[in-house]
Amino acid sequence: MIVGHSFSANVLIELAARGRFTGKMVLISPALNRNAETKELLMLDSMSRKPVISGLMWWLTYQMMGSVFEPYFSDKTELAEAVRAGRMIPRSIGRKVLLGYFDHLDQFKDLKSRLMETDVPVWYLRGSKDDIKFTEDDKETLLRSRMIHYVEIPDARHFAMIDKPDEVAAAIVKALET
Amino acid sequence: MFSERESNGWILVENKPETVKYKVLLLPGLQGSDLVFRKLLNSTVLEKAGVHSIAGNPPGFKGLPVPKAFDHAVMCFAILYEEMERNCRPI
Repeated sequence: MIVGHSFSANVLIELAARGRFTGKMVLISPALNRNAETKELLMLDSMSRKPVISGLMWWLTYQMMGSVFEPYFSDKTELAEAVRAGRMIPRSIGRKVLLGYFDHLDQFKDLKSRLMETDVPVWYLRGSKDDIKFTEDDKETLLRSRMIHYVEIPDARHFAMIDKPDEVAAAIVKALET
Repeated sequence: MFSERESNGWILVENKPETVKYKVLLLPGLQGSDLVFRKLLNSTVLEKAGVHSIAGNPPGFKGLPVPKAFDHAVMCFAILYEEMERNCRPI
């Protein structure tokens, strides 16, 4: 089984579409279209495409990385480690990955239909307090596929596996045993 | 018990129970790393179910270099993930 969070969950939708993967996958809160993303990331994408201010925006983003992770890490040492790991990615690489991600969302417009073509079992998992937008229509559409399951983790935010690790673990185990 | 190893340009952090029934590869979001899965790796729910959990830091993440001619597109990451998933399958 392969489990992807956020950007990596989007990568897994593409992996499923390639048709070579034969296992199961759990997608933790992918964005199914550009508008599902947070306004902060949409702004970063927009600014990253403006050569003059792109460098400044990424410098600011790295300065503020602590405030992004801070709500999820109660342990200050773990928070510092997560921020340090995030900052180890060169800003130029971070920018390229972000632009590639939004280019992909723009290419397919709506990843629901791409995901629904999958032949592998998929669990779409999200926290009930996730800030990635996901509508009832998204849910109803995905559940029309017999290969797609939906799991909502109560009171979890975007990093559901940090907010509610045992609940996410239980969902993974249930998927493995299904 | 956590262990860390390098494999094909990745850094993998894993928790392997004494009896392994399943293998799960965990992959982070933007600017993420294995650290966002630390609590999940520590979960006794996975351990009791015999899940060997592997948190992967792909090339480009956590300061790791990317392969030559890598263009950072989602498709390129999908190919990298596919290759790593094959390596992580139970024998």
